[in-house]
Amino acid sequence: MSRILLVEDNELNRDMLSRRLLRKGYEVLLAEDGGEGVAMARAESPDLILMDMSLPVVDGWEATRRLKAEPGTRGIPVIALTAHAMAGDEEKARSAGCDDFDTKPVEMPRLLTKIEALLRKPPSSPGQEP
Amino acid sequence: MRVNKMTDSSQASAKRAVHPIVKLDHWVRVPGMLVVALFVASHFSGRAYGPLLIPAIVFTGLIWPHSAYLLACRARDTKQAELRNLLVDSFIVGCWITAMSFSLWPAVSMVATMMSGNLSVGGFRLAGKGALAILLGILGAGAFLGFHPVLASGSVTTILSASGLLLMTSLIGIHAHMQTSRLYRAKSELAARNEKIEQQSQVIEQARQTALEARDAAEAANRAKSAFLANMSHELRTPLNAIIGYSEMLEEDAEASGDTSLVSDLRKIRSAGKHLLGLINDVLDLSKVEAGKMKLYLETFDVAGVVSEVVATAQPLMAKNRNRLEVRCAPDVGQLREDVTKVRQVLLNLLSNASKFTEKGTVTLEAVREHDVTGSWVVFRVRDSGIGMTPEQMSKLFQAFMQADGSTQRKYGGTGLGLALCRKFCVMMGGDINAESAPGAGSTFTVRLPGDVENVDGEATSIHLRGAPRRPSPVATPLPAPPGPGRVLLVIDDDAATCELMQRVCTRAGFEVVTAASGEEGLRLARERRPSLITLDVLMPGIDGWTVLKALKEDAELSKIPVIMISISDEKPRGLALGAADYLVKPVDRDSLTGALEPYRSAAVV
Repeated sequence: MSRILLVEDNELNRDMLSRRLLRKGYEVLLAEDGGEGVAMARAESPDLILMDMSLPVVDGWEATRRLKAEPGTRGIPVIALTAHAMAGDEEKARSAGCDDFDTKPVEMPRLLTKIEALLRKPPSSPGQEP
Repeated sequence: MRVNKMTDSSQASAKRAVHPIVKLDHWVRVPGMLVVALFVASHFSGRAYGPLLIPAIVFTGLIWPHSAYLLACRARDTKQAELRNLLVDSFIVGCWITAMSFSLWPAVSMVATMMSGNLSVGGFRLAGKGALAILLGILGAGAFLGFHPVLASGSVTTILSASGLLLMTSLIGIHAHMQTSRLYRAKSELAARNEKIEQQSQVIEQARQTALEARDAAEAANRAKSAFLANMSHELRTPLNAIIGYSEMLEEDAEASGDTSLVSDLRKIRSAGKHLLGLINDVLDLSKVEAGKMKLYLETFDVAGVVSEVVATAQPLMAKNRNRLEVRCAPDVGQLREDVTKVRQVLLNLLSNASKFTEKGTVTLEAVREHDVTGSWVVFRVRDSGIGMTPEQMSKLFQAFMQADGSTQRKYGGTGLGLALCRKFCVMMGGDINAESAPGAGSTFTVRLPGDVENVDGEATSIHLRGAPRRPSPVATPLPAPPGPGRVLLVIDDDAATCELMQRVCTRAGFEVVTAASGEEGLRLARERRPSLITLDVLMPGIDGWTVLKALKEDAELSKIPVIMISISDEKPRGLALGAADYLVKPVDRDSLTGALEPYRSAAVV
């Protein structure tokens, strides 16, 4: 069973998205801000991270940069979630190191396709933990 | 016909203003010439005289003064005519001097009067000419009558001459006084008028200041509104996420448990949520455009591909009102270099509108490539067979929050933001959008976007412009004649979006565009590239536009390069005072920018 870390500050959205992921058969870990998200990624080594971008304390872009800078977490694929579909947001997210990008409100089938694609992809980074 | 003509011309001359000196002189000439006639009569009383003397006296004393007045009044230039009359006066006086055998008293009194009259009206110049005319009169009359100088005169003539001299000098004195006071009056009138103008211009200046302040306040308020809308939209979206997400979850639950009645209701909640989300996105986009925060992300793409994508998305909309969608994509339409997201958004919006206002009709989407002197354009046309619009409705078409009328909103829904947004996007992308329609006859919306796909690299495009044979058609907008070779335009602006717009527009205008993201870089590039024109943003991190302008103007080699300042705040007087060639206020659109560039496109290279 794949473990997904969801980093999202809004309680309702966190609850909603985590329950929907649970229903699809994923194990879900939760974090409320960027700092917590990075700490949890280090401790738990999830298979994939869904990262909201506008987060308190440490925002999603910075959190992703930190994760991608550490050998221990570099290999974990990150999907950025932003509130508004703007081409600029996608570029910004990708330049921070995100592997994929989706907009909120999420369309579940589309997001699931992206999650599955990244989970199936063989790890590309050599310094990544198994 | 001839009679008519004469009446016309006399009417015309009657209407013409007569110079005041004509009237003044008339009042002096009438008694003056009468006095001359009296001198002559007294001189010849008791002597033998020729048959012409009586007519000559009558002409001098009674006919000439009035004829002179009439002649002057009818002349084209009444003042010149009056000066000529004075010379005729002088000539007549000269003739009588000879005729009266140089009798001293009358001669002296006539010459003195004539000279002072001429001096007072026409100064030394006229007096000189007058003296010559008197001499001519003397010689002319002498040629006929011979010269028989008898200086003495009879006592009556002497007394007449002395009193005539007295009378005439007094009259000429009054005459001079009247001229002076007329001048004085004119002067004080002029002063009063100047003062009035001064006051008026002060009032105008105050009004201008008030208007400027009002405009600044309105712009600030508009920016505040945009910022507020942007924040609000963001805040609104978060709970909306939850609404849409939970309704989707419940929908899945209901589907799983087979509760179909719940499924349809939950689906309504979800679709209402998505509709609301669309509206909020429009508000956010519009406020971003107005706050100057909307950015373009250019990429080269196939027009046909985007058209088929958009058509696929629009099909369900068409089905709703049972409309048929026809697509005509020209095989040569090729590629565009634009922000594909925005092109898609514009086309979808137009298709959704067309379908909304048409029932069981046809909506046509056409994409073609067109060429004119301004270059190559990709033109999209969305045509519908729907309800159409009145001219009044059309006038409000592209304004934010202005639907055709209130009832439209109730019947068809929508925020009234879609078309406003479309226009803003099209203008941002260097193109435009317009509409043609009539009530009941459907509507056609036309979007034109610049069709060059060359990298927005000045070199390539300016070569392309220069290479193209140019035969300006009479209807063409008088945009680019190719500028001289190597016309480099330096854009100094920290805002990438502005740089991008400037690059697109200025490249089309034929400049090779070089951009600098900071004042320091700008100064460095100005020295390296020696551009023929610089556009300069004021508010920049590091050294600001004012400092850059000062540095440019202090550098002997760069000081001649014209600088166009571009800023959010209007400080045009300051900009011009510091040596800027022009000043534009953001947001700058394509038209005002090309207008400002126009004078420099063909100017000699500095």
